[in-house]
Amino acid sequence: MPTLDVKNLVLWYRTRKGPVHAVDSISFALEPGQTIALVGESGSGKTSTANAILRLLPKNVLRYDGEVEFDGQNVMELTDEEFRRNVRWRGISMVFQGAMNALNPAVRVGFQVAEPLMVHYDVDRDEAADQALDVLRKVGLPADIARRYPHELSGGMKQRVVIAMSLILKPKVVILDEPTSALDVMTQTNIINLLKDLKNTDRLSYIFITHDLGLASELADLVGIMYAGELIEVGPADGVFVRPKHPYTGKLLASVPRLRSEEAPDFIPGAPPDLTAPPPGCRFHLRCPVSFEKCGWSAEEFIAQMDLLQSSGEAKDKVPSIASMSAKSPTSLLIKPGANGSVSDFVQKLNAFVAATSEKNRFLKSIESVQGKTKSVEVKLYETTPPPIVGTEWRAACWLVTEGAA
Amino acid sequence: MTGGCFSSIMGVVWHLAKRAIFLVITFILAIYATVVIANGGGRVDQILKDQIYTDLKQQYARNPAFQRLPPQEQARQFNISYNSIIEAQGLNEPFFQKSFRYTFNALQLNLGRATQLHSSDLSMRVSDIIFERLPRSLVLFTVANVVAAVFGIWLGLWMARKALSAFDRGMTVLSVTTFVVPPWVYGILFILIFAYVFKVFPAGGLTSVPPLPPSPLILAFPPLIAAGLLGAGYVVYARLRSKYRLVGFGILGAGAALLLVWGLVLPADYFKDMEWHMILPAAAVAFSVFGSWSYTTRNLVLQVMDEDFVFAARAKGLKERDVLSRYVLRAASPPIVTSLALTLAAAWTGAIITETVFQYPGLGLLFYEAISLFDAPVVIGLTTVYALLLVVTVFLLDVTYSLLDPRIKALRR
Amino acid sequence: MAISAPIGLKAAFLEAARTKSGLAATAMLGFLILLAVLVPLLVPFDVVRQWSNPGQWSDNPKLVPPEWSEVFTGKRQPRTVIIPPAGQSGGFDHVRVSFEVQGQNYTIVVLKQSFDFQADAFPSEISLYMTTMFGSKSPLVRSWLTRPDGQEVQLFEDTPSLRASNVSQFRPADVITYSLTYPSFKDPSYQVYANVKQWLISNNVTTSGEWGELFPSPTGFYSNPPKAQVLLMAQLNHSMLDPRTAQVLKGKYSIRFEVDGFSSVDDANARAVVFGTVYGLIGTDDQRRDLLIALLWGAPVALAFGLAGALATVLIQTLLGAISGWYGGAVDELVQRTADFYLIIPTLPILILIGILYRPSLILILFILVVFGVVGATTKVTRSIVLQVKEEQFIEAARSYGASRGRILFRYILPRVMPYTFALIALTVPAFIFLEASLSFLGLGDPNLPTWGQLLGNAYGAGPAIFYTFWWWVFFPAAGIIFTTVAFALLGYAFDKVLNPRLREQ
Repeated sequence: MPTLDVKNLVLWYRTRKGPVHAVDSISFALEPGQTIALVGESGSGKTSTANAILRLLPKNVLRYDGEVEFDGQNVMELTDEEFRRNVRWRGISMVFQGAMNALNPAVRVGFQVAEPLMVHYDVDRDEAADQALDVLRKVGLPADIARRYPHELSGGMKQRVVIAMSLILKPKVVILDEPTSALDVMTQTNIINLLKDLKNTDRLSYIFITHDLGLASELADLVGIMYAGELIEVGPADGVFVRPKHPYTGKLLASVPRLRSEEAPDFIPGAPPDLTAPPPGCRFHLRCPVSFEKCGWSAEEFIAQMDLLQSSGEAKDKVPSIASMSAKSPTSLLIKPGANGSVSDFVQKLNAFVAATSEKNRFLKSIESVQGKTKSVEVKLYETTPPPIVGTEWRAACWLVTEGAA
Repeated sequence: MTGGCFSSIMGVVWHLAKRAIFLVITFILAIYATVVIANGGGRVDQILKDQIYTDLKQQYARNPAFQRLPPQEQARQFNISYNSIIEAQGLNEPFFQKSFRYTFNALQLNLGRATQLHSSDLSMRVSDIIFERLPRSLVLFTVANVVAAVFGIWLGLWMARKALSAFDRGMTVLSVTTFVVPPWVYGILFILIFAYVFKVFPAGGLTSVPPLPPSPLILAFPPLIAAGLLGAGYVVYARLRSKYRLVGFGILGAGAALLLVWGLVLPADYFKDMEWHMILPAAAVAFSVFGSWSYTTRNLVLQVMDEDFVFAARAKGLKERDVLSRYVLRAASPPIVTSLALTLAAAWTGAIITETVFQYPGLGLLFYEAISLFDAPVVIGLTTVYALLLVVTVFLLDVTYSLLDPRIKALRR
Repeated sequence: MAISAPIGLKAAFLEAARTKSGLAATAMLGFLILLAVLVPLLVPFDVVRQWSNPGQWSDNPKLVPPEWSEVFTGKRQPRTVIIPPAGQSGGFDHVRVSFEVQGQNYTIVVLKQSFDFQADAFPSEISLYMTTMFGSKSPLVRSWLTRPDGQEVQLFEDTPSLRASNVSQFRPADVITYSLTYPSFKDPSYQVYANVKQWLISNNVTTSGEWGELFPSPTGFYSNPPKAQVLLMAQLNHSMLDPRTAQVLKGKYSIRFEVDGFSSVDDANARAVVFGTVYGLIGTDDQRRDLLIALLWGAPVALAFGLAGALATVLIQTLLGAISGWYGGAVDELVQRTADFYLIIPTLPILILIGILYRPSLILILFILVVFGVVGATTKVTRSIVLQVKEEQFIEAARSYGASRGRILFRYILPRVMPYTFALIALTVPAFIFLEASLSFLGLGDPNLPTWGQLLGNAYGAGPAIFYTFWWWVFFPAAGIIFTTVAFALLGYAFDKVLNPRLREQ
């Protein structure tokens, strides 16, 4: 039985610009002693996922549902008070991003480490302090550190304090939210080694949130790749890191710079999408190097890409001249040919252009049909649905994978 | 205990010592400035001289024996007596010299004799007059400010918890709009409404009967000490775990007992009467002050609530109440204390008009009376006491700050 | 103050004006500014300049509430009736006969006019004014009041010694005032008590004994004089002796003067004022001044004073704070220590002292307040903002391409601070309005220009124990101050909301 089984977890925020789909239907399972690395760019929803699991929600939550099974119990059904008492820190604890900020500057670190004991088990102050000393020692800190204030410690020491704090109640799952991102490389390595040791001795399950693929490969048994609030690929680390199924994972791996390599690291064009209005179909299709018919271009995206193409100097003369474009429905648009071109001419030119450049300009692949009307040309696009996540041990959400499986 | 800890304590002590020296110098300068201004740069001396001159003239004009003397003899005699009075009152010294003497005396709280005013037991010593009034002002303004602070902080926390709700918005607007208006304006309106229209409370004064003969100093301090004990007891009781709870309980009990004894010892009717008279002025002060507490608390708490360590505290499974009191309030308290100690400092001098409106015989009304009567020694003495109160407030603020914030932000201020 | 993403001053203004509190503030301030612009047109400055001149206000009733307050009492309150001198429309009828008897010249002048009185309450006061012209000997002046019930009561008899050169002009300098309500013991108008007593006894309303008990006057001087205006205008029965039970006799009253002169040049003119018990929109004060005028003029004065003071101090403080934060070192130390010094100086007591010793004008008060406010809270706030801005990349960038420190301060840093400065100005305006009000309340304001604080101070000066019975004198100025300061507080809050994202929605 998995220690933690997350099914269709959803967390949306309400903002002035509209709902933010921070976590959109995420599922994964974690066996005891296993580590899952959640990898993705900034803003892909990794931290929101962690917060959703620990039910640490801001005030502007719009939607929060799904199932989180912890030790066989669906903790989503607990009341806030039950959840606080039984799950938080006792079952699932967390190592926070940026340890310097996660410690209360006005309280001695020893008390901060010991505090959960007093809160959850009503342990006497002195006894809690003793236990805190043990844990501090376990993470490799000298005992006198307990009496110091956070600002008197170095970054690495503070990170160790935060780790000690997360271990004090002997939880089953520890969420590590970019635990080393603010540290130098040597300290990073030390911390990672410490986490590895703890995992082996205490049989801890980690949810390791990072954007550093190198670190993820150090620690992880499973890897989950997040993009725009969705988990697009999840599977065993040795598989995902070697033969990624999702094009995004591939791109991500290729973008890691290697020491002494002749190859320049690859990069992903464009920026991550706006989570208030995620793209239809596969959320990655706008930046995907291998997108095709089914990936889900909408008429508006098509127009935007066409405009971009027209204005880029390189392809200007090759693009058939266009007077105006307007979206008729999500999957069809009307194009008015330029000043001195008839409709039929335009249809021909467009078809030729698509045939010639659709490998380079992938959005052109979404054209299902081109029909000449009296004054304009109607372009129909393929219907779009988001790709389902398929597979059992190793799942990915990409039409290529779905097609390949079929 | 390590070297780091020790050096940080030394840092605090050194910092406080530096501040203390600076404050003492500032205090001396402020008193000197007051002496110069209170004497109008020597102008008051001239006024007094003129007064003596005309008084003497009139006195001689009524004296028939004097009138019979030849004019030269009249002038000579007049000058002799005039000069002797001037000399006796020290008015012949150049003001520049005298200003140092005055300052030195004021610093020793050797405030001299009043020219017109006197205390209720007819003492004309300035210090007697001032110390008769001081406890009344202390009681009134401490009670009002403590009530306002407790209520304001509680409201601010509540607003922060319900941030952006209708309650929060309404209370924010109420806070912002009430704290710009000074207490004496509320005083006028409150008297108009509660004393004149509804006739619930007395319009002013300390009591309906003449004040008790013994100095009300005795009346003032037990409740202050009791309030301190109650506060400390609550903190010990609520903040620390099981084995200290009994201690906290004990301190609470001591505070309550002190209040009880004090209540029994006092002549009940007289005390009730005094309380009854204090309600409106205290309400006016509290009403004008609570908004700045609640607004500041709300904003700082919201700011701190966004901090990672508060998030961490919540993740640790702390109750929301504990997160607020142990983490949020603790971290927000240094800036709250700073901005509000300044409010309190302003309240001391603001008392002048508030007490005048309510005819409450404290320091403020005394100042008004002394100024109306040109009683320069009382004015200088009072200003000295005000400056002293401000210096003490600022120094206490520094100490509190150093205690509340282990990083001693003050060092880097 | 936490510092948010950079926002321009204009953008901040626009966004602040869109919030609800900003909208309310804009509306309230708009009203005040409109008032401030219109007031000098409606009430010329010349009228306000006469504020301390009692002659200007003598025709107003003394200390009466506004006219609309009669809805609370449910009684129709009398308005002031003025019978102008002969020669003016509605003025006294003037008949003059001059004749000679045995080589001796005589002149008889009769002045008569009536007025209709229909109110449910007695007038607050009656005053008669006389001006006479005569030869070598003063004429004999007598006056009567004829009541609607036909009763005629003689008021007084006088031989005025003030000689006018021309009675048709009715120049104030030539006029003798006969107050029937507040006559001085030596004045001829004091006869009104004796005359009324005589009249009532002859009508069997009272007896000499009862009168003596009610209004003791062993030496002819009444320690507690009867209210002449009540006795003269009440229904003729025993209840009239007590003002609480007396009933108003409604109808047409007429006032008549007879002047017997002893030369051919003798002539006379008269004027009468029957003072109401209510006045205008706001009422009057103890010096009969129309409070509406002071209340209206209070708006521009408070706005100008508050804005000028707040602008000057906050801008100076901002600049000093920015300089202190930006240059650091000795400059910083100096500014910081000065700020601490100012914190400890008891400003208000010193201000009051200055006020007593020098009676400064409004402008001078403003100047002194600014001097006492060159450093303060804003300096600290600005300094902390500058310290944060200093660390930002664009400052580094500007530095690296060689911009001078002064240039960076004025071109990069101050514009970042400006929106906060404006929020602080809005929040400082109330402080200045109240400082002026505080000084004025203590009677230390500019005596030539009425301010709201001064009105409160005047009311308070009229008697701390009784001034709350004159609610109109207290309530409206207080409301004016509160309205204005609340408007600025709301504006400051709206700004704060824009600049401090924690105060608004995400």
